[in-house]
Amino acid sequence: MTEQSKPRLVAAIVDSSGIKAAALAVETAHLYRKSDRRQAQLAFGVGLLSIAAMLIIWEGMTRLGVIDPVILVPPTRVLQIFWRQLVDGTLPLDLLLSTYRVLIGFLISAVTAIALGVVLGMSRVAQAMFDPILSIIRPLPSLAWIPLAIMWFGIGEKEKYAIVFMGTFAPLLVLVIDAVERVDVLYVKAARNLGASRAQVVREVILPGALPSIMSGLKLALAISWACIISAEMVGATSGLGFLIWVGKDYGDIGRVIVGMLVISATVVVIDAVFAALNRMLVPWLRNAQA
Amino acid sequence: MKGYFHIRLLSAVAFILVWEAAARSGFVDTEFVPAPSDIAVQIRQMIVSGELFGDIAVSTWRIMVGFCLATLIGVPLGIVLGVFPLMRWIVGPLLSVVRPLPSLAWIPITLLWLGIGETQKYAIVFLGTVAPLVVFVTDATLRVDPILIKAARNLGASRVQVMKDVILPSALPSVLNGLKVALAIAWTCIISAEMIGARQGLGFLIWSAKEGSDVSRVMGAMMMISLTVLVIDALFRRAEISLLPWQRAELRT
Amino acid sequence: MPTTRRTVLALTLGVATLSAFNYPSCADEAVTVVGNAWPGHAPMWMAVEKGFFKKAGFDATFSFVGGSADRVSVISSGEVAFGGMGAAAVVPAMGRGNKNFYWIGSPDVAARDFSGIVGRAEIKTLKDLKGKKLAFQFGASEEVTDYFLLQKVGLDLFKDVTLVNLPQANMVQALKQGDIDAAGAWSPEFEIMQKMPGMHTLADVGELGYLEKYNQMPVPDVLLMNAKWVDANPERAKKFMAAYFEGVDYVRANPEETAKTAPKYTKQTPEIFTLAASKLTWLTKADQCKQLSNQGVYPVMDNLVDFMVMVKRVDQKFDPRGWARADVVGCK
Repeated sequence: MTEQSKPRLVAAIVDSSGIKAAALAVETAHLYRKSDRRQAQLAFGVGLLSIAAMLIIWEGMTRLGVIDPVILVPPTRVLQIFWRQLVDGTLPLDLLLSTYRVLIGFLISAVTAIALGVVLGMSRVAQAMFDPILSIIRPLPSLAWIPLAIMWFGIGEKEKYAIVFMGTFAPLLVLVIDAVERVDVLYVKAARNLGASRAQVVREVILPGALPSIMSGLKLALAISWACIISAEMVGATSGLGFLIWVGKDYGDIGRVIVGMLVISATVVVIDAVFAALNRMLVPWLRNAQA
Repeated sequence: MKGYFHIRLLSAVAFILVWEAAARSGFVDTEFVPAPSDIAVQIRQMIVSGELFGDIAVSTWRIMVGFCLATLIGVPLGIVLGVFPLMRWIVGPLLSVVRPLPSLAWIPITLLWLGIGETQKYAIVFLGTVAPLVVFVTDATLRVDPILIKAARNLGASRVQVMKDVILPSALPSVLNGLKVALAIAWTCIISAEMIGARQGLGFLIWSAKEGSDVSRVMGAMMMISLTVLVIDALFRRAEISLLPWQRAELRT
Repeated sequence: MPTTRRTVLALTLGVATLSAFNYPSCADEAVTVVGNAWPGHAPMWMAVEKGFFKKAGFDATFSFVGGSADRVSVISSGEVAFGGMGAAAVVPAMGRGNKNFYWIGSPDVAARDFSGIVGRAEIKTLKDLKGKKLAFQFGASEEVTDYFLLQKVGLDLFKDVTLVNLPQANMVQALKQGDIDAAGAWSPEFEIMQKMPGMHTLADVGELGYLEKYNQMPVPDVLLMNAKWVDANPERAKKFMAAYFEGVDYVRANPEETAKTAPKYTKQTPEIFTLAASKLTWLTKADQCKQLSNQGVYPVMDNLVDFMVMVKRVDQKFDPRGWARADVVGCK
């Protein structure tokens, strides 16, 4: 409620767009993680059982002919395709390439958005100047950038980075501005009074203060990056997880499509875990607050 | 906000003028970055021919249907998962498989299952939004103060009563936040849904502009998408204010 | 306007229930047919435009679906009744045991030079493609054609060349921008790329000699109909095909009128349509009845099955004749 008293330009933008809410949403990875060890084991066991039951029902239905195996490929067939692609090396390579593209595009986006966000967060005038552009590009769904990215950059690697950048830049910028504005003005003033230069204030006060919110913004951006790259790889690519799904589609092979979907889910789950670990490392002072 | 109005206006005007000048003088290649006036001409054409309003109406309808179905299923399911740990553990794995999938990934399967009709468009919006929504609502339910629940139980409320009278009202603000996220995702879904086998819609508009290699049309379509999203968001905020009367003062700022 | 909680909730419920009743009713016999910008689909366009389907009692809509495999998918789903596509997408579907469609004909035969590979200046011959980027639409007929063309010069399409999956419509620009070194395409993009400065033709489908040997393309075009739709009422399916053949007769007799209407479906100029259409012959009912035989398209399909087994897209050899329904075409 304390933020209430400070009027700010971006607050309305952040709130109306659902971007802030989305950042909150990606913070729910801890949902199924309970501090109670025994309960966690139980949850894990039930989860495994549930997956097993689902697979058996799925396989049984297709074998018994309740579901046409052409419409929904049985799990054994999916496993077979997965194994084949794993052994011939295409799957690991696709995974590696997609990850690489995500990282490059994401890094470009993170660096520019954080730098610009800090400037805009500290200066109302600069923010007002950027506001018209930002308010046009912010509501755009990430996929809406794909046609433009293809037309500007063709279908090479540059286009892949560009799509990730275009899809993540605006939401990230809005969140960074918001995070910077949330840093208590008192700290900034105190540092200035004690003789800190502007650069020092940014480095010593604003960045550490805004870091937790920036981290959750980065996490959201990373999630969007994956959606972007997979979409980008579907249109005119030679490799990557999106390519995997799209080739399956173009050959009418639903088994391949399902393998691609499962691999994407697994990758995102792993990346979420890595990011959570990174977050605990970078923002150690929040460790207790979250529990 | 008022104090900065002139700066925003000035900056918007300056931006458009510089862009226009750069395009006209040949400083930037208009085949890649068309002049704002060219984009305006394209938008005018879309409006005059009447296609734009049809596209907006069709896309908005598809989003609303998919989104409402996701709400009707996702919110109750999310609350149930929040209340019953066993259910949460059973459904959890399925959710974590479905949640990270980008909406484009649903295209191949929905084509095979449902064809290219309206049902398939609704399905892509539904499939893309329901899992994140369930996760969000479950989380909101888990955050409800357990003391409130215990108090209600002690006073003799049934489980269903607790869900309806305690959990739903106190989780409602976060649930609405979740719905906002889902709505934002729904817009990305509609761009996917209208990529293959569509004859109308904002997604169709932008993809067909791309096939025609017409950058000014693509940019015009992007602006119209942006504008539509803004309007729908504003309407949603109105609904939010009326649903949460006790938070009205806070929401209006 | 005072909005209350109740009205918002009521509206949400209202939209949801309305949507439940929004499905098209079955009474008016609405039929969706699918194809792409390939001029082989012109009979469908004209049968819609000139009201041949309407006359036969069908409210038919043509939907553009770019990929052949996607068209097989949507016809299998049952939501779409009829469509045309390349056999390269149909044979793997048959091989996986997809019984949701019938094969009801072969709509056209194209000329020797209707498709092939176009390369940038630095690619002198097909052999130079080794290690270079070749684009074609995956799962389309051109893939098989390109495989055989490269095989003739001793290259393995799937091992020696970097493949780019590109919809035909995006190819011209990709080649122009240098994103790819060569492209395999069919009419009219094939001709458009051939005419682009600095590009030259590396090979065309005619070199495979199928036209001389079988009077067909290496990968024939086929027409599919949803199996349930046929089984539910075979007479209806025959009536539908009769309307389609009216479209064929119209297109053959009125090339100018067809070219004038085509841009609505191809998004290209009438001239480009005429250029592409000049490369193919639409097959009449009598022609198609001849095609559905061992003297027609069957042996070509057998070859295609062998190819799909070889590239492991189909597990084992099978007989595509099991899907053919000459009776729906109206053959004796």
